[in-house]
Amino acid sequence: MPCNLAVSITKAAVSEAHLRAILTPEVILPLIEAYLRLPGVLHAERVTLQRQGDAIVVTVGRVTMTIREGRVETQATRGDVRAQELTDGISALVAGIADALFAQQIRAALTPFGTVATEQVTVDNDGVSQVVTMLTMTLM
Amino acid sequence: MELTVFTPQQVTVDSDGFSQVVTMLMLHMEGGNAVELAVVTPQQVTVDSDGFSQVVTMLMLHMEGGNAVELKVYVMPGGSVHIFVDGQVSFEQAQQITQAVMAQLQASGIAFREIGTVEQHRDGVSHVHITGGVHVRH
Repeated sequence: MPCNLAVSITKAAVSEAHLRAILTPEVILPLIEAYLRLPGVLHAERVTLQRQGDAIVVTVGRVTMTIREGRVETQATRGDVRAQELTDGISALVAGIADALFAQQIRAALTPFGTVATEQVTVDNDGVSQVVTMLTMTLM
Repeated sequence: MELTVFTPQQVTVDSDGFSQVVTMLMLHMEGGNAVELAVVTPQQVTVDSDGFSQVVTMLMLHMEGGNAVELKVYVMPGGSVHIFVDGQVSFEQAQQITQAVMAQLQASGIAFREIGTVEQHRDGVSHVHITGGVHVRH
């Protein structure tokens, strides 16, 4: 039977600003480059990728996306389906990077207590199935 | 304020006449107080630090009878965590462990905007479900 088994449970959340602060241009630029190289992401379009201050500007064909502090702003003609597709893809990537880096931060912070095992698991969170990072350690 | 967490050490202490092995962590705050984190009951104690007498808060985290306690931290999308403490411990001990974990996370620069209360989930034979928590198969 699915069940959460534990003596105690507590929940905590960081601010959106904390997550955005993790997403520095240095961190996300190489990951966006790698994403754009994945098969099927680009449709033989011309691509430019450059850093402008604290933002990254990605141009794919006629679509320009500016990524700053985890937010993606897109310049394209209204109703441009390709622009929406690219924006959704980059937005999901950036959110995934924030989650992965946050999990790394938590893991590093727990290290003084002992060895931390990391696993990706699927959980039911209030009826929503989510893939989460599970950090496990045994305190003796 | 700069915080440094020292390597955990297993030390033997005398607790009410019983010798116990506990895990001790030292949190050092530059220019301020040193905090020994070995968890359970916070106590104000006076220590000698480089020739200076200082009052510090000491928390003892000791597992009586050598029982292992499992700590699971689920890192959820969007910057939230669910902390599960399980094992042969009382709810009060689980609470203290959770509070020590939260203190450690915050000392590491992870600023939580909200922290829920530690909820009692299981005590003895009763098995209470908490709504809103993650569910995993076991």
